[in-house]
Amino acid sequence: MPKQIDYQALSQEAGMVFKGTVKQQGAATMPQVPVNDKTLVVTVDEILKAPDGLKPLVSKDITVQLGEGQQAAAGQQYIFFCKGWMFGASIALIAIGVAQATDLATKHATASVASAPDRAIIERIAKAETVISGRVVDVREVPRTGPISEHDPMWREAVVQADTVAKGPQPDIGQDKVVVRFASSRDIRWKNAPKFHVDQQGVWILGDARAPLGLAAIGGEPKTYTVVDPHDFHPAEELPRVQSLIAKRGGR
Amino acid sequence: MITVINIMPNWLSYISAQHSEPNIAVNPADTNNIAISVFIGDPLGGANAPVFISKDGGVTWTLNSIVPSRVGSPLGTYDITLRFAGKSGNFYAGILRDSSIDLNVLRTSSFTSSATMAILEDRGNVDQPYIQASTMMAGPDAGKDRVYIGLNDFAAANGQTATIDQSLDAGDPAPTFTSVRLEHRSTGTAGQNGPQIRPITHPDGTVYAIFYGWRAFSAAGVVTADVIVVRDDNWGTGAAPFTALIDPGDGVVGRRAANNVSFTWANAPTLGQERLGGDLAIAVDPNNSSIVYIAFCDVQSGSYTIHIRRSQDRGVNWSPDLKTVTNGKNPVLAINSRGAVGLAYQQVVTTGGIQRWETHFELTVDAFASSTDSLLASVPANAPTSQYLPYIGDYMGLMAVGKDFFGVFSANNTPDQANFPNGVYYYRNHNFATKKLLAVDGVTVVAPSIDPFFYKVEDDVPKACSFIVERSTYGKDEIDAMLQQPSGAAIDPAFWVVADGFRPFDFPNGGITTLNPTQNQLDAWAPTVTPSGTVSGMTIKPVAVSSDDPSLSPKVQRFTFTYEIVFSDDSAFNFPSGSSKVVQLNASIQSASATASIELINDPNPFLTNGQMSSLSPDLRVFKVVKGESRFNAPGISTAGDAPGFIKKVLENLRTGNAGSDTFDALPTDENASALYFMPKDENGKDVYNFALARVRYRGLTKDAKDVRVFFRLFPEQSISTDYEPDTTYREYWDKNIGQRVPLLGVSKQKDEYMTFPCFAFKRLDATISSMNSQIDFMNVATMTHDPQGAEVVMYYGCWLDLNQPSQLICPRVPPASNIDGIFTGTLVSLQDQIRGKPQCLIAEIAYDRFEIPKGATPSTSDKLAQRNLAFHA
Repeated sequence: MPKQIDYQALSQEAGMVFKGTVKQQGAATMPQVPVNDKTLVVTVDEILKAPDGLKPLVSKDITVQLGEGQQAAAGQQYIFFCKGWMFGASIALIAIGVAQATDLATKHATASVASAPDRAIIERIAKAETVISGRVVDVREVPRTGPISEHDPMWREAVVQADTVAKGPQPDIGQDKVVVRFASSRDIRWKNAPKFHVDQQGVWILGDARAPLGLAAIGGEPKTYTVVDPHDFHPAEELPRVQSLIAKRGGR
Repeated sequence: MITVINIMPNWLSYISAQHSEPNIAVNPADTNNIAISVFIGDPLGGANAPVFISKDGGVTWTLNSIVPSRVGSPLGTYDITLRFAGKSGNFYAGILRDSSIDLNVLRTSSFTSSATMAILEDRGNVDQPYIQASTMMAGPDAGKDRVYIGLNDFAAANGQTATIDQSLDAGDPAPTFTSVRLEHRSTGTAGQNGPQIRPITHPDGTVYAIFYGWRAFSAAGVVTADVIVVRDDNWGTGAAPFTALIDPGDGVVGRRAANNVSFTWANAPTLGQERLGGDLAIAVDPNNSSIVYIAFCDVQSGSYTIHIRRSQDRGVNWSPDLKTVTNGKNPVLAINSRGAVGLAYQQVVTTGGIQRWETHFELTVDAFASSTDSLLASVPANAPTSQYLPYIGDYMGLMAVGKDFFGVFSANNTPDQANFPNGVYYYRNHNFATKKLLAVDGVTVVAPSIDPFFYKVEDDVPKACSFIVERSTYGKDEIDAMLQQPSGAAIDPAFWVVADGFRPFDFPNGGITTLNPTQNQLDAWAPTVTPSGTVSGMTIKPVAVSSDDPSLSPKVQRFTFTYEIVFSDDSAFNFPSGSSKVVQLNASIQSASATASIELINDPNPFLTNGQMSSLSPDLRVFKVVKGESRFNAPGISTAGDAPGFIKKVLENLRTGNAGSDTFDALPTDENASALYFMPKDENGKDVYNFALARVRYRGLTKDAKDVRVFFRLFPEQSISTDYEPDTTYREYWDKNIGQRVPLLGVSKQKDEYMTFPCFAFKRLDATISSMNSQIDFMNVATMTHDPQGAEVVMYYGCWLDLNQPSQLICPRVPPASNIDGIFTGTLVSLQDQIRGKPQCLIAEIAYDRFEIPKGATPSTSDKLAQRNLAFHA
């Protein structure tokens, strides 16, 4: 077991964090799991992070596969940081971190889990050139330039009138407007990509003028931003929260 | 037989999401291994996307996150298709990866491992990878995997984008892929081909592919295209792969199976909330690579339409439409080992202004001149509201392995059995009565969404039912005695009805959901059993159900229903004393039926019980003793000559209650636990002797059963019938004048072989001196005295099984021309010699003068016969 545990990194990466007691080594709760000496049956004592639908796992036995260098003894309680593996009649997880379930470890784990959702937005803010709140005043078509595919983003452009700049310089388009290119396609690839309509209000976290996600740079006016990440748009009422997160980063 | 299963695991019951665009892979080398893909993210937001895996032929399912994706991906991958190569065991996938949308060709040698699938090929600018894989079974490349991915390659020159990326040794640690361009014509104003490129392989090396050769794309998005079929005759290994088919019309590579079809490229909800933009499928007959079926879609009279066509000469010539389906999409084709063609598709049907998505599976053996159409699902088309496109999928999956078809479709998952006319099984929590999905807690209602449904179509799994009769006879005095008891005259078990070829949900009222049912549930599920004609005072009722799969998983299993017969009075026996009445019982359930007979007897009625396992009757048991060993308080045996005296003493002690600590019931009933010895000595070198005991039961209120005999016979197990045939295998000598009645050697119909061999509690007479007709066996005839209170009484009978005594010479090897029961001349052989090498069973027969066993009766249909299969120590 590592002496130093990066609770933040583990809680960010783990899909499930829980306290559990090792019931049996070299065994599994599902016949599909290939068992070796690092396969454990663990009773879930307390869930720190998991989808709400999995909360009934408390007091149930699940399978945990330890990784290299990880150890856990039968009868002992640990905090398991896990990613998903198999879901069937039972559940099998892969441990990416294991800590003895001391009070201190529990406190660290709980705190790091609680702060995880904000970190994703903070990372986007860190990369952003500007963060604005405003209203969509126009949406216009963009001619297709790529091949015909069901995954075509069907670009459109939303013209946003900014009323607050939470980060970065004022947009210098002349009329407090920026152009935000977005994927209007309902294809699975763009399922979570924000979509905008006239009169919509919100908070935009805008990167530099190059499009993210490896998309080819698309021509247009200066300061045409592209938004496809769901963390880059928030409802207008979220402005105070976004501003507080910017402040957490020292306003940068 | 069709089985439909919603494969969402129970622990993911909380999920409500649009799991569309399913694909399926069945390992042709082991059909227990099946994988299904849909759009689904790792439940814990991990970096890998899951596939559904089954290791038991599709009965149970588990999600396994092994497809490389990205952390937090909500739907796992973009396009994904799957294949097992076969004998190599390698599992392949072709995906467009989240988030780069690059093509990844993936491989793992174990689809149950937690290891992320290895990336064999990684390149961008392609669309809709559709994978096929085969392991070479013969030739210099035997053992190598061939993998073909149909894809639309936007980097291809001149807009001729239809491509197959192929690897001729995909199992290699670092396989190479080459891109083969399939389009040899101009794509005109379209500047590209359609995204659907579908390859299919045949074990003889023939590889076909089908694609839309786009010729024009109008400003309104209308596509004009040819449906092109290409072929390679040697796994794509030649210098010019996939050029074997030349169109006779223009002399260009690629046969146009349909010309100038058109449809609108609608990347928006168009039909039942689904988008449209072309659909293709292809299948080749595993018995004849010249026979190929295709499916394609276009618009006819304003309706999106599926067309099915066939070639019988390797794609050179094509039939006109064999079948069309209006408002249908997602056609998939497969051909089984019998040459039967399976076609599945999804179709929007409007009834009373309400649209529904129907998923069909059609099976034809005559090229759709006729077909059986099975409706797998009929669900609302307007609910749930689409979250993204595709709503149910740009394709689905179907394979044939052997004679079975394995498929997957996505549909509205509301647990409404009316939506699934061929039945459905859910692992996720649900309530069929309220038609609600429930979360893991079994209480919280979960909104309906789109789930993947696996289905299997099995050729000829007949449904059948049969009787096992515990009590084939009922005596009037017996019933009168039972009517004196507080429990009345209820005979439970009276018989069983076994239903084979059924799954739990094949039964009415929601199917069998518990093996501890209420009486109402049992009445609904159990086969209907009625007597022919009215039988006064007698009722029949199911009382229990069991299954050879107590978990009630969604697979074919054997259900056994227990029935009791209740006599409310003895009015059923209103006929003269000494006579009987046969009542036929008729059982029926769905298409299966069976009959059995019971006999009402106005006479004393001794009987044996056999239980459900009629080959291991609890009333017939065997045991062995070694030299000097005492059992049932009978002194030990010193020599073989003591054996008859031993069994006589055992019987006496059992009958008088002086058997000490040994009891009949303590003798094991398990075949192996009661193993006997075929050799005269055991493994310790001790002399060993084998014996049998039978327990006959009797109940009477006023009458005794006089002179009840039991005959013991050794039968060769399984090689001859145990049907009661008094002229052959159940021969006996009966002189009614002197009351001599003994079993004789059983013979074949031609009387050229001794088939069955009687055993006795008395010393065998010397058949070279006397005929076997004179055999004495007085311990096996006894009067059963009734209990005045009407309780059941028992009597014990037994014999020495001298089958391990080589010195006991009993008869010639084959019957002589005359005097087949002796007096014998010539060489005799032992019983051991007669049965050597033939598995044996022991039959006990009640030979009661006042009752004649019907011809053809067996231990499973008569309570006058009991059977015990014999096992022997090695």
